[in-house]
Amino acid sequence: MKKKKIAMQLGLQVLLIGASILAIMPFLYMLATALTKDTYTMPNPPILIPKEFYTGNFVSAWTSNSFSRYFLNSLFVSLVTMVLTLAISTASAYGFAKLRFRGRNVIFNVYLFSMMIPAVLALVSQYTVLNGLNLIDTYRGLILLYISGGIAGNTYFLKGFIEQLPNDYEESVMIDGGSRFTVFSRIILPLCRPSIATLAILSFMGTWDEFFAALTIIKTASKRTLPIAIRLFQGQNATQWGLVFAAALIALIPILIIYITFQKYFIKETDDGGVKG
Amino acid sequence: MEFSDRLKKLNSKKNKYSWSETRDAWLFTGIGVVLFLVFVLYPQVKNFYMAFTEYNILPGQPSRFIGLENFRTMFISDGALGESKYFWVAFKNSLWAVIITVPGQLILGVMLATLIHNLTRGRLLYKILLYIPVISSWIVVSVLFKYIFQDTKGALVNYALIQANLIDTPIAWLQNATTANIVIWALCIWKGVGWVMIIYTAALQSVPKSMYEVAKIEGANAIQTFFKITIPLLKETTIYSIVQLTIGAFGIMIQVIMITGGGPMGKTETLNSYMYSQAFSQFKFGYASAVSIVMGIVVIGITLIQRRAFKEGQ
Amino acid sequence: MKNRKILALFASTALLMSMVTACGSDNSPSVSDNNNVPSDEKFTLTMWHTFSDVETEVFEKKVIAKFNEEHPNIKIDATRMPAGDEFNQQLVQAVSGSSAPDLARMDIVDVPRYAKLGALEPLDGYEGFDEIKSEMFEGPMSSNFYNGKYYGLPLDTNTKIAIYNKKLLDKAGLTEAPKTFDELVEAAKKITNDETFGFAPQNIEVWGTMPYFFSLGGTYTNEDYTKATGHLNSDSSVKALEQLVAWNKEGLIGKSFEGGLGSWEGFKGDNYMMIDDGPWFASANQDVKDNMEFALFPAGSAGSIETNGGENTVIFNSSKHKEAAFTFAKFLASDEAQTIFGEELRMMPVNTKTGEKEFVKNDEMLSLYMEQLKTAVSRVPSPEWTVINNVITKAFEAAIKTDETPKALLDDAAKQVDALLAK
Repeated sequence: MKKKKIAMQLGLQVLLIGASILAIMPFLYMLATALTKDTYTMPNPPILIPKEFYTGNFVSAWTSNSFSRYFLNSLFVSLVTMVLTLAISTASAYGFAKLRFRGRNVIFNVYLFSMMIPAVLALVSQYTVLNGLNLIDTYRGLILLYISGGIAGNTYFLKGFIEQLPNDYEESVMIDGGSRFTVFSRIILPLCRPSIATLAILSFMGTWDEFFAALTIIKTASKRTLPIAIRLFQGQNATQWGLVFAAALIALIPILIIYITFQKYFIKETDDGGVKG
Repeated sequence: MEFSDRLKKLNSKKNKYSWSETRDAWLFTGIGVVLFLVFVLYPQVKNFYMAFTEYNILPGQPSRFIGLENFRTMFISDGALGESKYFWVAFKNSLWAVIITVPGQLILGVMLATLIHNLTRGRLLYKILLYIPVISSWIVVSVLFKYIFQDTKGALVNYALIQANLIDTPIAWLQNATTANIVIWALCIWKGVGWVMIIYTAALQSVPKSMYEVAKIEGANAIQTFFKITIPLLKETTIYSIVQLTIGAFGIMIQVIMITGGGPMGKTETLNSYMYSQAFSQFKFGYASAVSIVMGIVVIGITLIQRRAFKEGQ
Repeated sequence: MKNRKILALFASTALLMSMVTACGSDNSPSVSDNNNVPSDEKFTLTMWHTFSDVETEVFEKKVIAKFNEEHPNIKIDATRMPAGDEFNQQLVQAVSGSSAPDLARMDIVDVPRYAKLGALEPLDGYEGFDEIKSEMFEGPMSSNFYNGKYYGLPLDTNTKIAIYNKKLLDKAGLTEAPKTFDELVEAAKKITNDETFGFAPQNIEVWGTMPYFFSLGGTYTNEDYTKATGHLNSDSSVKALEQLVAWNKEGLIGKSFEGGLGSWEGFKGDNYMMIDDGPWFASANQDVKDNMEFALFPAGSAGSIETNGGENTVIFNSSKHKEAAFTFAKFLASDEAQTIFGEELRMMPVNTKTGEKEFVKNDEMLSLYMEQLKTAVSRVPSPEWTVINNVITKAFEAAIKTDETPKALLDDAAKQVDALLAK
């Protein structure tokens, strides 16, 4: 029995190592290229192990094109968006999952359908709306756009989890005289932590990498976000790939940190008990 | 159970909807609904209108109402240009992308999530490694894939295939339509699997352990448990993932622009990349809106079919 | 107790929301409606461009600084934008939202499109227009012409010349660059194998194939760009494409032609003996500069014909300071500004006065580019250019990748281009 278990674990490890190699192989290529000098052309044949250890690309990526500035801008926009998205989406999802009110199904179905219409063109009209609200070239405008764009999908995502939670808790709280806000904070939020953590990561990531809206809404160069800085390293006639890759690798760090933070957090949570039947 | 029935009755005694519940519901959902109306629904409704016009983007300029003309151009091939043939190529490619990448990502992602879930050591490490593709920039990895699938012997994929004795001469991946599409799909799957994995690991953790214990006591093996307990319990997650992945597959655009530029001979264009170039490089906003509506209808249709199939399969 | 926490959550959300939505007017630019601004009033012009980072530095610190010596009241706010499709997306979006910049540096092929859209200001009537026009090289100036009016002033121009890989020239037994296609093909045959090729067009698109097609006798339209049938599918055009297809079958043409190994990578990897590219190639690839030999593009039956590219300065008609914007556009085309661009960046001048200067004539590479420019041909100036480009590109691609004959493909393409030109 025990041997079988060990063999199984070993098998799992082998499969996962294989999958991980496939997943990160292109990044080794990226890293090796980023550590190479003079990369207006990609190394041919490609290299996985750096031939030199040239850190110049990382240094100039960080110092040129106001990259560090854009990095902080992005951090601000993504974090604020994340916090607001979580607040609005969890509340919304609870409303749609557990409360009954007129128009609930209609609104929710409109949410669902809206997700299926491509968003690229909407930018034209969104731009007009923001223009009317005097929010062009402001973070407020950009953040509102990010939050709004995610509402349908995020509500849908969380609603699924909240619906599965038993009603018993809720009822006992209400019998004890608590309000729905008590139910929401004491029961729903703690029980949904894994999903909320997931959503946090997805939200942060979605904003962090967003390019089109950011480029369109923000006009002042100093207010721009990171994806634009990375794109600016790609020139009209010539691109230094080492620089682009170095910048892209630096851009990975905050998401990794957010990811690791929330991962740990929710693993521990469920090990402690999770939902008891 | 009995108690909850009583509570429900209590709530629905006077009216179908109680006032306090409605009030609370709007407190919870109101901000979201308002933002949604202003920034999502209104632009979409306006898009719908644009599809029936020769839309002029200059402010203050009138847009000519042309009825179904845009849809005619899209569906019926005539005139010297025969625009509709490009639409149909893009349409076909988008459908193929759904057929290939949605199951591809879902199956691999669920497999990885299950593997990780059953692991005793190293969960976090694998979750991080497998997630890195998801968090990387589309633009940058698209460029990477272009070079990984270069036609030379030394290029990563050709090199690996030659070393493994699978091919003798390097494949010119991006030079013909089928293989170029394979590269685009491969990128989607490679980048999307980690997303499915993280959605499912979260969902798997929310499955009550007690249910597995009961199954164990009743003598079910791992595979039975997976199909009898895990899958049904994760139904909502699965429907959600399929819908999202389908939307994602229809959203393929940057990959095409960066890797193939729509080539060879426009054969890798997708609906979304086609729509983008019609709008922003040819300024045909009315026509592009019409394409987006058709695309929306197709996505809605597909997801409804998926939902039904899934419900009947239960 | 817990209620308080939730209240706090909601309150903080509301607070953040209000922070996000409230007071949105701190940075709306103060604009003056008056077009004839007194010279002592200070104001700002925005200009969008896609200069590289090195070019941007020169543009901001040298060129604009020079302009401000004369016009201290006009502040130029230059914003660098990502190049390519995104740049167009930004411009269109801004035009639609009445927030276009005052000026933009625009690719010459895009000018007719924006002019047709009605977003650009015709410059013919402005003070000093005729004077600056007379100083311009004809090719770059003509790219601003649409429907009887000029919608911009030249800012920079470029063309490509042949760049040879010295090692491979050696291998082919040549001591100097071939002057004609006959010589080039003969040399190519000596070195061609699986991985080495005689010459490599940048890509299959018009920008890559046009010099080959035109030098071999092909053409796209008649002289006033109104008809393609009888030109794009003329006998000599068909022959030119057939020649390219034949050379490709023989394996003389590099894989970049079909979308494979890029011309830069192939040049550096000693795969391609000749490529053609703009002035930026040499500065970007300093590491192999000793292996480069520059020459005019080889001559075919129609001579040595390269394609002409470049950018113009355009003024959006939504600008509140058109006079001032014109003053700046005029300055950018002037000998003064062109000399700075040329001396600092080796950019090819659009001004004939600058073209005569010593620093151009003494620079071996730059003078070669200027020499090539004399016979360079513009792509079809049409609002439908992006579509025309697609049509021609697809025809060429089909010629090398399918069984269809060049004749049939060009006949069909000519019909399509006719329809586009008639729009």
